[in-house]
Amino acid sequence: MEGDVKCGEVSVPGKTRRSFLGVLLGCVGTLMAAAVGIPVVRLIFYPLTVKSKESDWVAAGTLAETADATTPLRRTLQLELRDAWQETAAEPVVFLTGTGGDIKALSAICPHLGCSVAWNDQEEQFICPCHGGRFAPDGSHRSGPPPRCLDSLETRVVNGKVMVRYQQFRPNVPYREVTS
Amino acid sequence: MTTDRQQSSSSSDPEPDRPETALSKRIVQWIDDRTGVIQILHRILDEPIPGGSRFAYVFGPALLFIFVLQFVTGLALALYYVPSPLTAHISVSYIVKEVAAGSFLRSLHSYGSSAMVVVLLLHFLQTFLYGAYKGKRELLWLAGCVLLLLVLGMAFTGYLLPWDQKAYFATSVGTNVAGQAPIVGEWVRRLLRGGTSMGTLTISRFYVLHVFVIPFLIVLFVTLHVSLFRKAKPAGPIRGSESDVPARTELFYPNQVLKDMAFALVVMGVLGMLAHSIPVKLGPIANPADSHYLPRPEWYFLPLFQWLKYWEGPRAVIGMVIIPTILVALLFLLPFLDRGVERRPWRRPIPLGGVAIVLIGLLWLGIRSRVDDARDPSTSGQLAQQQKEEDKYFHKPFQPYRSSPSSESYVPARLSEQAMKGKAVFDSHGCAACHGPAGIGGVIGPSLTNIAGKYEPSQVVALLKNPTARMRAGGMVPPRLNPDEVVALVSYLGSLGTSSDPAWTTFMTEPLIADSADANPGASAWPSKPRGSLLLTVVFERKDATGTNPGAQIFQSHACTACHGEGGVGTQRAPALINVGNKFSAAELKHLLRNPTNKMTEGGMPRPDLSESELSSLVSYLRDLRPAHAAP
Repeated sequence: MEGDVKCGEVSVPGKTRRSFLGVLLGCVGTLMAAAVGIPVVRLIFYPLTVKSKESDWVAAGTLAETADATTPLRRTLQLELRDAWQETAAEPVVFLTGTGGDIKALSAICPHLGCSVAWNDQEEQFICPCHGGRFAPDGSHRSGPPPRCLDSLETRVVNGKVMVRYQQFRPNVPYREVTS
Repeated sequence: MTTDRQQSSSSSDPEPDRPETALSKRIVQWIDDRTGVIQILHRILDEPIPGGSRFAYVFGPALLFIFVLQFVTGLALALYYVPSPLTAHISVSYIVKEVAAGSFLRSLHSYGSSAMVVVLLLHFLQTFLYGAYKGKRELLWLAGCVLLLLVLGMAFTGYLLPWDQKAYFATSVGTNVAGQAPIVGEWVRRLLRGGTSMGTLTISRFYVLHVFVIPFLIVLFVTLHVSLFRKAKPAGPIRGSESDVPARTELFYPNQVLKDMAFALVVMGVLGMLAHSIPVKLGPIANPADSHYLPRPEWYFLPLFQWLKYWEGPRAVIGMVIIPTILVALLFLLPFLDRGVERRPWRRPIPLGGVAIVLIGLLWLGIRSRVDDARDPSTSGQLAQQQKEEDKYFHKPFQPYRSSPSSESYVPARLSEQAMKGKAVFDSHGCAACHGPAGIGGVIGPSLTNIAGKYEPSQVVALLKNPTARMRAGGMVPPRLNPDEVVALVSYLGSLGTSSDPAWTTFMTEPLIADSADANPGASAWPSKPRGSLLLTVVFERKDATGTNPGAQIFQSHACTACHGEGGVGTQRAPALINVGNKFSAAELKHLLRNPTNKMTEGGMPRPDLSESELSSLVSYLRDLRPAHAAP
């Protein structure tokens, strides 16, 4: 080794060689880190790549029921949900308001930060128990921090049954963006 | 020319660099002023290696490298793995079949464990041949021996976690071996398993050992091992004169680091290639009832596995415990036994011979095990069959586990009407007494979960009619059912767990019963159905071997005989009912049947689903039970 110098009895390679080797080792190290790191990152980020399947139409109630109701009807939907390696039943809550042709299904999930809103009979409005958001019977925003109205879900009437397609929306933005 | 140390710690560089370099230097300087990191780095990298760098020294650092690799891949797998008998296998299946890079990382982790053992062996050989445990290095050696045991412990505990057939049975054998230890054996075995049999607590315990306890101990002992090594200094080569060795001394960086890195690259390359091209398989879920399964441990435990075959009877404890303990003790005590200053292996014939005999013996045992398996046609046939089943399961698309949080936890989310009927049959015939609620398995009977993954519907029907000798020995009695009930029951059994087998889908969705009932209600209609041709040979009849006594019929049809024996003579699972009439009044018996005591329930006694009149018949039958020889 030409650039070597003697330092006591310990031989030390020259400075250029040492820094060249440093770069080489850095490259090999990076390569090996990438060989494991990239798969690990892919594995960690896998949930972002999973598309949630379009939810089916499920029955939420009958036309007759909504015609009789004076306050929004609270209904629990029966949904099948794929949760990682298992299929489970989810039971989201919706409120049916309005009658006949302009029937509306409102998601009970508050568009502020996702708590479940409840109907308050005395005040005749929806109240979110977390941060006090208030919504009119038709779901429109009355007061409190929520940036938009209660999210209304797609509905259609089949043989006198009110069918709903359940979706979830991005919280705390002034527009509606379907997340699943 | 200055040395590196002086150069990098000097605050003013003689040559002014470009601004960005200067900035980076200033940042390094800023950090160093506060941490002294550069000096630490120099302490690590500038260790003198007497006699210069060598490829013989790469194994220790490679072990550290593999440990880090195992740590990272293990952490990644833990993001998805859920340790419990209900979830372990399906979550591994999910990792392997669905998650991005999941199969690759699991394979890397699995091959990594093998690499760990291989490199550990090489590290041992190098240290041994170089006599590098001599010269006040006893504690360094002992820490290394502890690390060897910890690595084997990692391999053993990790093997169970996927909860497939291979994992289950290999661990079952392994924990039983631990149970052979004198005095404390049974205690150790039950402690490892968290009970007498393998189950929920076994997985929890192995998981905690594998993920928390042993890794923590490894980090602890690696720290100890490395710091003791730095204190003792490298032993250096075994050849070379007093003056020659110091003259060729090099610093750890760069040449030894380069060699270490090169070897790590080879290890990584081999592991990556293996993991990419030959993914590690996952077999079907553990089925404790499968008496045909031949467990084979991972290759590094094969010699031990073979060794155990040669020891039977009261001498077994010698082979299973005493000899291995002596060998491990010799390994630990090596630096205390081989105390001379001589390091050259050819001048140390006794240690060399001993190690050679043990290693050749292990190699021979390992090869012998493979040869034995290959020579015995029934064994090799069964092993090939297992391989095939493993491949079949591995290549089947992923089937999510069905569960429903709102209903009873183990019941699948949706039961067809047919299966609901089957559930009623299952519950009313006392099947749950042995097979557990919803067939999750009990103390006596095996789990029926995912039975659809193992048998065709026709096979289940056949097994129900004619249980195998093993099933009978375990207490299984053919239930007295009419064909409708059979189909319902089998539908229900098929719905326990998941199966994509078309035979099951057809069986469970065809309105087989409705049609046949229309055509000709009764037993004969069912087999004549073309779709049901596979069931043709099997007709269940209410055969009343016990005569017309209604109580006797109930006793038969509710599978009381499974535990209490034919005619209530009793089995090892449940007491005899003969003379029960002398102990209890009719009212007391009725009350006991309606409200079994805790002791009865723990033994597996169900609360039979009977009407008042059926209960009366059963009680009068029970009160009349007499030993067979006393009967007129």
